[in-house]
Amino acid sequence: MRASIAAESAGIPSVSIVCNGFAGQAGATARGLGHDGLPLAVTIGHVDTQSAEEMTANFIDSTVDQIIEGLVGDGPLADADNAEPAALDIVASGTIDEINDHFSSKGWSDGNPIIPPTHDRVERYLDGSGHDPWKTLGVAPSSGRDFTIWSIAVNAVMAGCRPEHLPVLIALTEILADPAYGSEHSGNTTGADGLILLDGPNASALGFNSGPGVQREGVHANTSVGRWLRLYLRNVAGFTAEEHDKATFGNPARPVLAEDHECLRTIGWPSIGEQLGFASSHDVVTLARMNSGLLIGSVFGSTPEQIVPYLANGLARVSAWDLTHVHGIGTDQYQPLLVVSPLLARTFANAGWSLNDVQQALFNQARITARAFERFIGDWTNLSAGHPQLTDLVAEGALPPVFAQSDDPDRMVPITTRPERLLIAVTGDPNRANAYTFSNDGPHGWWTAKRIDHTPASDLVCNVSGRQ
Amino acid sequence: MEPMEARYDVVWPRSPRGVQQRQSADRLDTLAGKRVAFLWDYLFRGDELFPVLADQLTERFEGVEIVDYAEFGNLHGADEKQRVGRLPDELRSRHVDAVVSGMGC
Repeated sequence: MRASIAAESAGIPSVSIVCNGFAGQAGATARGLGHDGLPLAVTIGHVDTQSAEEMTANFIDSTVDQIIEGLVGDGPLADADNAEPAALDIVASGTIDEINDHFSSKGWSDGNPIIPPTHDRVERYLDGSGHDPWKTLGVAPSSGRDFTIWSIAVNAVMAGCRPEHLPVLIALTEILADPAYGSEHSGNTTGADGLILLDGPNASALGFNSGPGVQREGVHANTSVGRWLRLYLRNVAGFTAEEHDKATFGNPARPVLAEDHECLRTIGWPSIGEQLGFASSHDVVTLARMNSGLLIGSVFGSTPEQIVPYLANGLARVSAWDLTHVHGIGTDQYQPLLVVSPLLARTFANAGWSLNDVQQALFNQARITARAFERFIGDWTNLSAGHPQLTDLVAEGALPPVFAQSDDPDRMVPITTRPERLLIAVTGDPNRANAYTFSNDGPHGWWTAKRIDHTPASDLVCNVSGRQ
Repeated sequence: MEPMEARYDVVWPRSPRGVQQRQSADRLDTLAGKRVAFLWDYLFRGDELFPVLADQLTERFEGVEIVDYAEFGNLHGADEKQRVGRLPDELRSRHVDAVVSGMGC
């Protein structure tokens, strides 16, 4: 849709070819980008499940006429009914059960009970923050809705977040507004979901758990902030099934994965925020969308040499379709995450291994055959045009030479382009020898970090009611 | 008598659309004699369907010219925003009259 809109902005009529399951999202995307009603040419069914003959016949019988009609004749008709409530309008009144039923029926809830966002409660949430409620941090590229401080606070109240978490929510919103993150892809069909990582000197004081059960519900800060992200994506970015969310399966909201700051400082390893360029003195929140997760359970060994092969095996096993982000859908944007318990991290550190040493060892050992890699990026998924061979991609300069050290299809090749593409976080029960891996969704929620600024804002703190 | 249950007046959890709706480009009278550019994200079998479309348009409209997707490169991926941002100028410089973009699946 974005290419079509670029054409329209140049005064050139366009039509976009979409599979029928994508038509709703395409229409919502066009509306969010200011081109409501832009012509679509819809295929019969999904092209990936059809024979070449069937797909071609369907295309000629149905789609070609739509393409012509979209380019010739009358222009697109926008939906004239754009009436929506204002920010301070009362949209429902009732008991807590009635409010929850109303929000569920409108698609404004995640299905769990919400705290009713009354005007007073939202205003109290912002009291003392110094933020102008109407300040905009950007526009959701999916829905075209403003990322306002007020909307952050409304959804924070609903999720049960505490006011001291507002700086974290603002930093997360800045990530959603950052083009590098690509929040507009948050509803792609493969259904990845955001993983929030957080570290810094103040993380513990804010109540974030980085110990046992770090990804379980149960600790208020981790759980409510993770829930807020899903609510905010739903309500402001428009990721509902009726608009932009086309997840085939999806995942539950993930509690915040807070890193073990004390362990990191003790062993001298950088946090994820530091690995992405921030100073150790800053509180930093990081967001990336994750496709798959895989437990590396009961890691056995007292030396790095004994531990690395199993961790590397886990990274290789979690990496499959995701390799299309090395080449295909993404371009050098496969950057999986390895989460190790503090016990495992200390085993490395006690042997004198830096985080870079671990990354290099994992890069050397987390490998699959070239044959398997080529299947994942081409034969099995058809997401890399022309089903390229790795040797050809290296010859073109699209991949580094390590992918073509011979032309033997059974040679072992890495899962990322370089060691630094393997991120490592330290958290969880400090006395357990377990690890976990996540495969990331490349440009569809790319690793993006922002500093958490706890300084009260000096914006005009206005009379909220006076702005209605 | 049961105590009165609390009632709540609640606000909207969404936010206004800051994006203004824009006028779409004027449509054409015909594709005959026009230059039609194909734009592709290099996904979902566009390499099979765009040649079919080229044949269909050529059969149906005399003098139609096709500007192949290869001239614009892959419009999806790491440099998507830069490539899409260049499109208006690239389309104008090639004197393109209409665009067919795909594949969204």
